[in-house]
Amino acid sequence: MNKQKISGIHVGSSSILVTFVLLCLITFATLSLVTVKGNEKLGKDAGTKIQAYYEALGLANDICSQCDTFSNNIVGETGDLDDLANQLFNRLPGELAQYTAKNDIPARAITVTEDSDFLILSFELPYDNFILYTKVKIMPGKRCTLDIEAQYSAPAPTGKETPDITEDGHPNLLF
Amino acid sequence: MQINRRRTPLVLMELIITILFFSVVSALCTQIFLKSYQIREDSDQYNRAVRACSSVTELIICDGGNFNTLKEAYPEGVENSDTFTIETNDSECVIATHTREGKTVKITVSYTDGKGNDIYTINTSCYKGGTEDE
Repeated sequence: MNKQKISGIHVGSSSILVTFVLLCLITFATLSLVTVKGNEKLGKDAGTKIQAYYEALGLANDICSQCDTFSNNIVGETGDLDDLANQLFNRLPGELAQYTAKNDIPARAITVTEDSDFLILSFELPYDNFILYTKVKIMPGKRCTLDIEAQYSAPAPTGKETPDITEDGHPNLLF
Repeated sequence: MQINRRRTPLVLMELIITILFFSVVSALCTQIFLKSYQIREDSDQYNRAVRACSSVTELIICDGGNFNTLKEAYPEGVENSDTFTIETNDSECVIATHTREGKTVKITVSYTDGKGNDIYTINTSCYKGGTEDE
């Protein structure tokens, strides 16, 4: 009969509620920060890659212009396409090296292909994650033309990637 | 009644501590949210700059280093000798510069914010005479 009905706030109930709210708050704050940081990194990476691409494109254009001047000079000297091809073989790697050294980018796989009335100078400009395959068509007495193809490669493996299939042979759904 | 009277200070003490703890943690979380907001704003501005600069650069390259196509695309832009300036709604600017050096045109496109700080820049060259017919 003496039993009393306890009403009001119980001890510990507010702590439980606040703990839950704070946990939610901390989780959402962390998630938003992580997401935003990830997006920022993605944007910066894209920006840097675009800058690198245009830098490589500019370099290829510079080299094309150099080839133009160079071939006109040689043709002016001899007027012979075979001679032009030989001289390009001998001189252009040095010319390219001069251009690429200032940007610390090694041009590689320089080849000169000879056709009936034109030459094609091919070289590759490797950057961080792409290679700019460049072909300069050199025609004596005409302006050179430039053909550029950028090929992007996957980033080098770091060894921390999640395997596609787990050790049990099941697809790995954790990503 | 005796029990209730004994428990009241305990509940109040707990409430005070809880409110204190809540204030501290929520202040920290607000800082994190504000920082996230600031990073997102900066990131948005940077992405805008990248898009604008690459678009303008492509338009100049397609035109062989000239501003004619750019003028058609952005009639509100202002040309001043070797410079073409496009002002955006947020008082941010895209400034394109071309300089002729022999057979190539050096192109610089930069994006500045309202205070004139440089956010993003693209440097490239364009070879004049890219077609056989020219």
